[in-house]
Amino acid sequence: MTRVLVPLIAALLSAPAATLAESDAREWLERMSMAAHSLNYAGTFVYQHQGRLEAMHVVHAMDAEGERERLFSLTGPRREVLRDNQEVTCILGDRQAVMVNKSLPRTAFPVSFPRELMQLEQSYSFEVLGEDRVAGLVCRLVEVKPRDAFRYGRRLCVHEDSHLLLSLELTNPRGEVIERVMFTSLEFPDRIDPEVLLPDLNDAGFSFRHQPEQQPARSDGAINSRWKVLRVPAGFMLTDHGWHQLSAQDSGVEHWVYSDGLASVSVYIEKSQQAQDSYSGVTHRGALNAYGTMVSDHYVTVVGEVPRQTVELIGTSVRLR
Amino acid sequence: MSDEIREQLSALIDDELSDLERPLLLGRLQRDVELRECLGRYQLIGEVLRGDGNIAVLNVARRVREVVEREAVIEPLPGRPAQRSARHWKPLAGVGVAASVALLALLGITTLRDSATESGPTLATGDSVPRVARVGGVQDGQWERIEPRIEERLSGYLVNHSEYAASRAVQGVMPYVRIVGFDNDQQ
Repeated sequence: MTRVLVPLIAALLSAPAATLAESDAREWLERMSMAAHSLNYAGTFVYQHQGRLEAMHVVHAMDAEGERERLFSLTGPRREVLRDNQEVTCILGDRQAVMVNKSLPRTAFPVSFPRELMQLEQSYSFEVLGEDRVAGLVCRLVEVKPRDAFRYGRRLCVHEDSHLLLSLELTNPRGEVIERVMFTSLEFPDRIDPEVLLPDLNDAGFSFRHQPEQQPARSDGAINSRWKVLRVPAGFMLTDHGWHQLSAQDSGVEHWVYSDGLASVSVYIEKSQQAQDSYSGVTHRGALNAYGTMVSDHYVTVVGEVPRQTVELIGTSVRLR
Repeated sequence: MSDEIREQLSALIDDELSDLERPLLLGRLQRDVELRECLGRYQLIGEVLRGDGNIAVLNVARRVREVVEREAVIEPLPGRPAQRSARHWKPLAGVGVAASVALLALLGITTLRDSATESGPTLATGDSVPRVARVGGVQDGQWERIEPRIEERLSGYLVNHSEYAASRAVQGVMPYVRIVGFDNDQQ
């Protein structure tokens, strides 16, 4: 009897402590998520990936006109992203291309549904580690560890005063840092001059590509598709499904979105434009991996900020019904 | 081009086209370059007259127009015909871009979306590392060379995915950092 009771009591005593530590870490992430949308801020940060270092500037405004954001490169090719409540405009100066996308409403963290919260806890553990300093500001270190090899770990430093994210590291399953973002200077102006939120576009001759707005088609949550995705890692749930027309030429792209509460994976399915077309392989941009394959004369592409094995697992399981 | 089509274009811009006429005209716009250019000019004229330009895409259009206007008032230097030619072409190119922007704002009607909240037809796997079959003709699973058409497709997907990722991410702008921070040489 004692042999049964002692571990049970020990488990009961230790469980609330672990839960408190986890909820403390999640509370920091919740505050951080809110701060990212509600504050006026402007700052310069560095982005480190694959042995390279890039510098960028971000301006974020939240006022009576809503949330607006501008992100642009300070090194390398001239690129910028502008976002408001209606549109996301990506200006790629090196390609003389502009892509316009419908912006989506932001989901607060953590997802408020208990079922999703449970999935999040199944996939990650959370821990507050202590203090650090970034851009001269004191911040709190929060570590998010994945419970399997299908997702990346995260180490964040959250500003003590404003709760803005000051630095972020993504780590692979071996614990190596594969991407790092870190502010080098940051300020919180009372008001953002609207002029600094406008694009610095001085060249004509750019080509424009519009990714049209999506219209809700069904309200019952049912999936109407000829395709099925057989395998996703535990903890990932389907959060969106629909169709895009990415250009006037294409016949439509089917899009499935999976999320584990932190990482997102997209599956794009598009009819091949030519018979016997070849389209297969993997590529990556920092922590973002892409896997492509042909299935029944369709291009199947899986894109996500997850390890390569995750996009491969999902991509190889896409089938026609 | 008939007066009827012109009237329909005008009605489309003013959002006064009937539900019956709209899809027919949009379908024709997708096929007819001349009609698109005409629509662009109409829209541009309308924007300038109304002084519109609140949303990002129109801000871009406004900037392009400013470039066009700035270039248009530059007088070519006397006795240098080659430059005269260049000066005359640039505003026209700029108008073409602005017209494209105007058209883009109108093509957002052809997509459908399921609001998926259920996990759907998926099976969760365990946490073991899967064995993934290698794809034929691909060395070590890498695209040996990403052809322009594949690159273009991936770029479109990446931009599209970034908005979905950013909408749910705790780290906000991070997905877009990968778009701004990469150039073609790095891939």
